[in-house]
Amino acid sequence: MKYMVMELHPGYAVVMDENGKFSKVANMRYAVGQTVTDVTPVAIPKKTTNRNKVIRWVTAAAAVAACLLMVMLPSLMPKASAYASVYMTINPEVRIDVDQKDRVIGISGENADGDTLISGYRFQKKSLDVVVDELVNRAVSMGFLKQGGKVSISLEAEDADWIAAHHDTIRAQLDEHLSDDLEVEVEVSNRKPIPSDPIFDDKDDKDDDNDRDDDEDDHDDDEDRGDDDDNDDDRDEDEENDRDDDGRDDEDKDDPEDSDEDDSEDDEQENDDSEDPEESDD
Amino acid sequence: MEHEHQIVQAVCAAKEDSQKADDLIRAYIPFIRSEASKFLSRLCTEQDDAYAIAMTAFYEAIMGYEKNRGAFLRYAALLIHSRLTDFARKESRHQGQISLYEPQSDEDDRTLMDTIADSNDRFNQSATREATRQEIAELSAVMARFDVSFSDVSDNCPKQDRTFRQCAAAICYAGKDANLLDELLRTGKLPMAQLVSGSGVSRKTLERHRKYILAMLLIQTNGYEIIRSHLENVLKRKVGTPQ
Repeated sequence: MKYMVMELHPGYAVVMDENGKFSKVANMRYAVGQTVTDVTPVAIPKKTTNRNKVIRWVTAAAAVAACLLMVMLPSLMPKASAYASVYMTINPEVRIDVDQKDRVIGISGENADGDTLISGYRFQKKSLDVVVDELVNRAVSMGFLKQGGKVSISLEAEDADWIAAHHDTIRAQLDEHLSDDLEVEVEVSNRKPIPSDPIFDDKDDKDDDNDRDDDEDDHDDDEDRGDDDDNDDDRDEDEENDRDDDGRDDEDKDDPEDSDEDDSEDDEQENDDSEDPEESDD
Repeated sequence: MEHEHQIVQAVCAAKEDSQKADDLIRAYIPFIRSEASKFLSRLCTEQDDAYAIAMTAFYEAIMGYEKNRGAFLRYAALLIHSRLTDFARKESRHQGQISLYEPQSDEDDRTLMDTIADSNDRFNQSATREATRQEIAELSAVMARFDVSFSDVSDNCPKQDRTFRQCAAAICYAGKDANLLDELLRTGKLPMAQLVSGSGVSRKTLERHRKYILAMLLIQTNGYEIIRSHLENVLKRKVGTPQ
């Protein structure tokens, strides 16, 4: 495009292009009447209108809301999958929520001292044992727990097996942990589970069979996605799946006559229920 | 504080009046040069492209300044700096090329330019340029009678493609009607009613770009051969379009 220089100003030159369009461009030592090809147009910064301001505010508010949501999300999500709760009472009473793998997913003070005890304590990515030990240590160092004191542990879960399994282990472990430092009484009791808690709904079918159990695990993991700590159970599951696959492979080798069609069928089924040995025998 | 206030007042006045804008820029040439020199890390002369860019950036700062953008000189300095950065980036693609005006060797003053046969007819060119300059000066004088400068025309020029085409249609219609142009020169008024009825473009659109249309009509009156030959493409097309 050729531009004819029409008028000169100290800050700019007015040029006219071949289509009759006038524009202001940087005045690079031009002379009136000169024809130039490469120009740098004047770009006046846009005015900030009220609409711009509104857009800016809305954008900022949306950003803040998104940030808040991201901060809140991890703290909101694990609560939904609390599997069991452990109440630890010294004088401060503390509730520790754990999931199926005994990972602590929430912790809260049941009274004022309990709040003091857990303030500033980070339970993330710690197992129940560690948290109980560390909280007891904190209680000792904060002066709540003294020689001859008493630590009461109450377990609450809908799953009786879980309570039975932890009844002794927690006690034994606490006894061992405390024996070095000081003599305190440890008492473990069961709390009656809250029957109508929707959180524990999926518990009943736990013992039915391996297959359904597996599905349940999947479900839990989906809910836990916010947590970084999924690695170990993922690995467990992978191992299980691997084992299943191996079994299937062997079976396939056993009867080579039904090759292609069955394989594809197997592939399809692998996703939803991996173990069903009868099916591939057909 | 008082001084700053004066600048803001001057800037607000300069936004309305291009003459005042020119004066303000002239008054601040030392400031502009010092900002450009800061950017170049060497003394900026009037021969530098950076000087021209910095002057333009100062003009942009005048036109774009708002109270909420802080102190004017700070804002201008910032804008100068960013425009120079943009320009330097744009020009960086020429790096590694040899300048035609670079001396060929240390002892010899001859430049590469001198060794290349000059195919341009310099004499003819400068004669054409002088003729063009005179034409533009004449046009400018006629436009001054209507109290319009090229700077106004460029501000008034339609930016949107569709509007531009509509205006071009009106201009093309007027270009074929010698009487219309004569009337314009005689009365000193834009024959708006005839333009509207003749071209079918809405009056509002034409009114909005009044100065631009005026300039384009004046170009099509007698004389201004060189300017018209510059616009050859448009005018030829206009003659071709049946209306």
